[in-house]
Amino acid sequence: MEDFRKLFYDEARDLLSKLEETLLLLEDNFENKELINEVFRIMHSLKGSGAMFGFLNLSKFTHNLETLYDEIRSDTITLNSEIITFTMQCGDHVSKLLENDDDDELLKVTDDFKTYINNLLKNSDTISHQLVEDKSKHSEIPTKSGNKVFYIEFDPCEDIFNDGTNPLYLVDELIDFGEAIVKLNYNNLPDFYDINPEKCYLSWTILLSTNKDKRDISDVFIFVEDESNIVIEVLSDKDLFSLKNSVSILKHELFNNHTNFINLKTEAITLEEQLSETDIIIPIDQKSEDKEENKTTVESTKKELTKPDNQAVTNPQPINIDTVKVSSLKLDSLINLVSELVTTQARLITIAHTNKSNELSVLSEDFQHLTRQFRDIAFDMRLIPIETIVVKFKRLVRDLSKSLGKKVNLVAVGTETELDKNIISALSDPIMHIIRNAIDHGIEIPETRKKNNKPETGTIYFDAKYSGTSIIIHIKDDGAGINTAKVLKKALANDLIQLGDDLTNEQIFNLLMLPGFSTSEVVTNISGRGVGMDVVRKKILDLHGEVSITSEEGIGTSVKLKLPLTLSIIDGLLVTINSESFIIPLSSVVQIYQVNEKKIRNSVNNIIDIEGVQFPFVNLPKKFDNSSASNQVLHFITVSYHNKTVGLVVNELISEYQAVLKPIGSIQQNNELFAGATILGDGKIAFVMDTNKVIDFYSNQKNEEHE
Amino acid sequence: MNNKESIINSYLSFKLGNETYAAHVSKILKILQLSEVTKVPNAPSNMKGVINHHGNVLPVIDLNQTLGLPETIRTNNTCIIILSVEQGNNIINIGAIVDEVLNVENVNDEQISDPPSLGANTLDHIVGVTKKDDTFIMILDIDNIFKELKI
Repeated sequence: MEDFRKLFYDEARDLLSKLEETLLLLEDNFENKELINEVFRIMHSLKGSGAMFGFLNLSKFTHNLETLYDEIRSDTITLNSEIITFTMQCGDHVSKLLENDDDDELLKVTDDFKTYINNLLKNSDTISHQLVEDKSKHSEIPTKSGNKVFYIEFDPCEDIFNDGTNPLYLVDELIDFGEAIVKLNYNNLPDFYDINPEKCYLSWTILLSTNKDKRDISDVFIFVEDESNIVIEVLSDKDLFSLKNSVSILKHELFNNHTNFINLKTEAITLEEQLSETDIIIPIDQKSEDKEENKTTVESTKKELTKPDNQAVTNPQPINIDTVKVSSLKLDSLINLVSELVTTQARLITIAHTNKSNELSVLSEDFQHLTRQFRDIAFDMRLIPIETIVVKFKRLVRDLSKSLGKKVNLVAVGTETELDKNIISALSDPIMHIIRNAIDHGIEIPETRKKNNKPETGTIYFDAKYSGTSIIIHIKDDGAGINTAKVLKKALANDLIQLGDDLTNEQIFNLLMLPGFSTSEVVTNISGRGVGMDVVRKKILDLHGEVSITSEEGIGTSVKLKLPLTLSIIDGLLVTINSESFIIPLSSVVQIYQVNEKKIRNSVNNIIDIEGVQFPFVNLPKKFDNSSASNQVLHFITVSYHNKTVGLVVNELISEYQAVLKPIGSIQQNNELFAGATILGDGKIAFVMDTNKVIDFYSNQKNEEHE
Repeated sequence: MNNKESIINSYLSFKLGNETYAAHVSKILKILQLSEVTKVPNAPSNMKGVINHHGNVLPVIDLNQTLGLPETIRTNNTCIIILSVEQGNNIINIGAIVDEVLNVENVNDEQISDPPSLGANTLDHIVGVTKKDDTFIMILDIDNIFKELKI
């Protein structure tokens, strides 16, 4: 049972985020029936599955909301932004109920919400609202042009009850799509004494007039289609039900005992002809076109008629399932296995090298190739689009700007950019914080903006894009920008800098990311408690990322986040330094040179000239262990360091290497030089360098300031 | 001391320099032969490096140096004992190099006397002292040793 609850929990989470998305869209267009229906459907699903899995309070609550949206979609209540705000709050409440369905506190709130809904319902002109779904209501839905009539046979397998499926729900769901004539077939019902109450002997034939397409209908049967006999056919592309008498004619035909699709189709064609003759709603200029279309339908239906009967009884088209939900635990264990595989593969390579067997080498190289592909795909599976968290930001912007009396618009670009799921979830809070800052400190109130010749509505741009093996996220606002004088004053007051320190703008902005720094004079509940950008920076650094701030007063502020795509396997260069192995991430390597030891030793100021280019460098063998610095063959690896190219001196260059990062937890906290460690094929450990930090640390400049 | 420790009265005794020390068995996961330790650049001097322990990267410290005792020469008897250390709410594993592992001693709580009140600066790390035959055995408070130690 717990498993099922878990499933429901996941499903409900999805529904709630969809709800939020829909509501935000709906806010721009209160009239959008499609969206209102979507909200209604979400409530309906929550109610239904909620009750099924024992979330009774949640179910009751969503029932009220469902009622509300039913009124809205039947135009008895007009949707306004107040109701949308309210519904969002309800959404939040539902997510709390999900955590704890029986909490007394929550139940009290639930009652408040319910009263609110009831008031809304009362204020509307509805005399009384029928809670029971009744079919007449559905016929009130204005039938839009574009409706089609479907012929559906639903013959569930006898054992359908065993999975806990109630076929009536499915039929109800279909009825929700539009207007329907439903016929129950009970011909297969055995004698009373032979009835097994656990079996289903009934089947249904349904004529459905709806604007949905075939796929939507077959989606209803998605869970039962394998066992059950389902036929879905288009009876007519016209909205036959809008024709007077047509419903009774079709009904008559349907309830005729020997009815089948062909008979109905014939009837439908006759009706279609009548329809096109009597149809005066269609404007004249469209009419001719429409008739043509009609002709083709008739022709095509005739063709269909000539086909053998069983053609109509084929299964519905296979549904293209283009996404599969997999629990993240399974994914994690897959990744772990891949990591192990990569390690084992590395061992195989080592053995192949030492054995000098040709066959083995070839095999191990093939194996390496496959492993690499396998690794890439496995990692790709963990990537999810950043879109998933952007919805949250939209909500934040909306709520926050409202409560602060500002007008802010969030423009998100590149939301399809994909990132490792772990990074995404860790990224959500920092970005939220940055956006919060932008709204609270950045964007001015509308009056000020007007005075400064800016559009009243401020804009926050969210932009994500790939850059090599990293991803770069920009969060830009067109607000007031950072007042550098204010920052300096504050920094002085907090002893973060000394009087007379000459700081570049970049350095000033970096001050903002020091612990305990907040320029906001008023501490609001939104930002300004001094736990701001420093936390953001720490979180981003934890992800091996970087943060930088740029700002221009009066124009706006931009925060740039640079993040790696994944965290656990990196391509690197295996090198030795003083006979210990290290890995330099390939992503930062620019070029490799061979140099002799003399040249290094004779260099001045740690700058060396190679092929006419001058490189600053770090002599790693010496820096890592001065006492036993080895002077073996030296290689000079140039790596990109911020926007420069810096050389690293190593002793030996072994090979390219796929390193599975192992956490080095407690060591890492006090030793920032390494991003992790990896276990080599022979069981030895090699540290994976974080080249930026290594260079930061060993290049003497700025070293003191950092510590 | 938690329950587990008070129920089991077994202590692993080992040598550091010429003195005998002991730690409660619940703190000790494993005794390994001294293998090759991968050095970590830019590490504190008592941190000798890391070893590969069943696919995990395990930090190794020199217990002599950690306790402020002079470093000793490695012999055939030198061992690494893997300690389970509580740091805040985390439990981490640390390999500690000791000069020789001696025995598992059963010592009742009554046989443990308070640590001497005078003497070296390692006293914070000693829970008590017991005597076996003619040797003093100092019982170490493993969690306390690594509480503030940065590795």
